[in-house]
Amino acid sequence: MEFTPEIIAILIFFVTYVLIIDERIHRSVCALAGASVLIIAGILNWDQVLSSIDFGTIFLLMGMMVIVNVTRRSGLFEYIAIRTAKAAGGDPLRVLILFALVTGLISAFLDNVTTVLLMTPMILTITRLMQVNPVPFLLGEIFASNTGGMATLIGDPPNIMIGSTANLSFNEFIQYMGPIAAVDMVVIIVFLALLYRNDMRSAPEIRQSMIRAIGQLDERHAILDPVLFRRSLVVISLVTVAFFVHGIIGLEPAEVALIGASFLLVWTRVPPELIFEKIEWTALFFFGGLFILVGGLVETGVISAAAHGIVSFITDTGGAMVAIIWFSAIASGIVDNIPLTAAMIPLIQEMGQNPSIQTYPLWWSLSLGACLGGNMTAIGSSANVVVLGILEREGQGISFIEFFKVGIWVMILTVFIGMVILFLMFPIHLP
Amino acid sequence: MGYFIELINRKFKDIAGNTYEDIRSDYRDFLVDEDVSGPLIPSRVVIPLDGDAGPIPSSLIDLIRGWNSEVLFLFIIDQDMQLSISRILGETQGDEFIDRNKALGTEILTDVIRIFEAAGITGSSQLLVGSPMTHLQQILTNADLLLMSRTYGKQSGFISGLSHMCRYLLRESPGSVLLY
Repeated sequence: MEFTPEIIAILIFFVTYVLIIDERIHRSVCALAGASVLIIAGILNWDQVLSSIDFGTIFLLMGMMVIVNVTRRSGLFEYIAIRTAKAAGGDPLRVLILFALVTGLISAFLDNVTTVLLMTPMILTITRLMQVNPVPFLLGEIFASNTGGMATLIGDPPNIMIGSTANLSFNEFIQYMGPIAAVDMVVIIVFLALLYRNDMRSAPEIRQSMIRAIGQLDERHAILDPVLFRRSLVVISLVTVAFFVHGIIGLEPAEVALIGASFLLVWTRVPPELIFEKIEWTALFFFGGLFILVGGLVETGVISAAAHGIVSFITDTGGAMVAIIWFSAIASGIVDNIPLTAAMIPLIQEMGQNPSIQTYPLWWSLSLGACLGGNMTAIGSSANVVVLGILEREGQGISFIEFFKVGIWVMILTVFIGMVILFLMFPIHLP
Repeated sequence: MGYFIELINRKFKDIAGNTYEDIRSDYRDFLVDEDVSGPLIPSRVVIPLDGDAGPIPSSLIDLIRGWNSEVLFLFIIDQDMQLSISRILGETQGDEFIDRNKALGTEILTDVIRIFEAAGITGSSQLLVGSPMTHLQQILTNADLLLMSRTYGKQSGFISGLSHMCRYLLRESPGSVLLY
């Protein structure tokens, strides 16, 4: 068998992908090593490496990481978690609803991993105090994080990658994915409330005891630095507004994030080394390596061939939307949605070369599938892994099957509803 | 199931790194769990006594009665002290040290048990020879609360209202400590 460049690129991508899924070697190391092998094999030259890397995605992530790291030092997120806990008033159903909504809202603007890392400790504490099963509340948090992250350009890495490549604005994401995220959030909360209705009850004396305990927490004490707290809020608000108008002011989202980060650092005078050391460099190198790997598939024509093959079966945009939604939903439930999105993006670009297929709706289809597909299995998205990992550390756990039994229905329901809404937005492409 | 848990832990480590520990540490002042959310009701209370320990206040006795806890009174004769006396002054003096302290310990334990029984609390007692710190640490692994006089172990040193023994046990005790 002759090892053509295409076969080499596919092999390297496939092996790296398997190693990333298994994670015995750190995912960023896998991605970098795979990229290195690709370069050594002569698949990509230096110019092609540089053109493969989507610096827009990387710098947007970096800028938001700086903003989040500075803001964390103020205690803002703990403040929000405590306020949410108090607002729930000891009622399990209100805890489910409020924490899901708050998690979804924060996930729309900050990365999902940080959001669930910050909310999970409070949810575990509250469920212990209420003496209820924590599983429905944590599942609500996971599903809300993945769903809320779908609503905006910056909420989830797949959206950042799609937006950067397809030049989609923050407002376009709000316009198309926002309504889907909002409807799906309601569906998720209702579904979990019904499924776990027995866990939504707690005895009145336990509720009173919990209210007393939570009432003793003073959220103002969570504010470690009041000046930093206020300035972080101001900058986050300004950055959010800038995202809304970035098309008008002529700035790319990555530029908005970096400018916001630098302004926050200057204004707050937080020692930069404390912030920069907390940037998730492993995640950024992971993305870099992935982009190069996918670049190898693009340069060798693998993506183009795959696209031509698909287009021979799917001849219109509506059919392509359905195929992309469900393929990316199922695939991202099984494997991480970031590598999947990285591979699907050039595929969609190639499919768009066909005059009978419009790419614009396909981007939203990919966003829908890649983000919501992560709800299907325990390893479908980083937020899932983080919450389950925390549970393991706390001596509890959710098995793969236990998660899947709920996740599959959540995925099917939310993706189906999302698909219907998407076709209502693009009725001309109804199959 | 084993592979799945290992996979989750591997992925968690790669994705979250040390961030979770940092966040837990940030939350420490605010996280309330079931151990502190309600009133502390120890089921087993240990009370070490010696010649320097002050009398137990009646309010604490009432509290222990309300808890309905098991009470264990300890009198520990410091063996290191006995060995030092034996080395310096002779075996006879060392033996007399033990006998004197056994008599003292028996008297103290009898008195305190009588006081507690009058208050409706049945306790048990132990008179031991050995290292007070070592014995107490072992016994405290099965106790919820150490109730201790601030002057307990005063012979070991006494600074700013607390004996060295108290300071040590405040640091090392696995459970809660209440000083009187």
